[in-house]
Amino acid sequence: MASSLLRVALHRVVSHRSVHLTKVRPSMVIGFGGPVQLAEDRDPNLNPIFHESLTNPIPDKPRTLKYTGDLATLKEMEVGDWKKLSVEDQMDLYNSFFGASIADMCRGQDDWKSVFGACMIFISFGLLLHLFIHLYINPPYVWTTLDEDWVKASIKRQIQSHAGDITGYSSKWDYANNRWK
Amino acid sequence: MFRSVLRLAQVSTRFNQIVSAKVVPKQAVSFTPLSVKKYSSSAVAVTDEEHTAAWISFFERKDLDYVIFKIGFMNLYQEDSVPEPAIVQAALYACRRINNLPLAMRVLEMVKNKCDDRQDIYDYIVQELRPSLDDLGLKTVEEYGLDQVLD
Repeated sequence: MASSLLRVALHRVVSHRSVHLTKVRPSMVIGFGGPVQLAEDRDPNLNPIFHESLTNPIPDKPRTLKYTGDLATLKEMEVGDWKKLSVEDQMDLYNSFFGASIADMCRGQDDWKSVFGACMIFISFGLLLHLFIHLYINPPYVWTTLDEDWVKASIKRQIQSHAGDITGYSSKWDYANNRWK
Repeated sequence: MFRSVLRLAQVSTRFNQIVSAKVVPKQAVSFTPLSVKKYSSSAVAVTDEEHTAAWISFFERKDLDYVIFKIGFMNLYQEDSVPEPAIVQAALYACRRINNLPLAMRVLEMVKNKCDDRQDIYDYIVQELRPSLDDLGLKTVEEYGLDQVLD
């Protein structure tokens, strides 16, 4: 969980989209289940309870509560004509307001590969243990039920109990004369 | 259908009115959220034109702010239909009125998400919205690079 959050945060830094003003994605770091943030480490300009998802695509409050520096000038330009803002400026405003795009929210994750790999490791360990015990620890299997005496005794018991009297052994036994039909 | 075309034709005059608008101070308003739904009962039959007009009039409210826009647009998004281009245009101009550029970009993203795999519907909406986007200074989701996934 934390590794995937860090991976997304790092990728935001190196993405082809311009993120030269906002490098870290606190929306990925702060929130339920995220790492604990001390009060002195938290950026006071950022919204600590920012949450956006596919079910809540328009958050209640923006990610950045107080704009400083270059973002403040961009915020003032936002009130004016949007045509004066370049694509990079507009993307900076977007990244300051939101944490991730809808496409980012929609994409799948590949955590299942790690989980699958770990499960296979544990399962294979168990199977190897089974094999070891079977080969070196358990005594060899003795198939007593395939002895000739055992089979004959079982057939005799079936005939005595009339088991299989339609299609089994009892149907081929002549009870009146005590012999096979 | 034709009303929406007429509305799109009024693009050029609209922006000049918006730029000169002043910020409206927040007041306590009794807000009844709009959610125009078509019921299966024939007693409440809403035609497409009425539906579109109702949504456009919602986004042209004088007391529109971020909260009201959020509620209204989420209602629109949760409807079982892709919004008409005229409604999306009204929403974009509402974002312009509240001076919120990222929200307009989010609106475009959500419209694209609503179209799902119907590329023809999305192309039609973008084609109809192109004059408004140029007027406002917005670009489509693809031109921003917001449809591309990192990694």
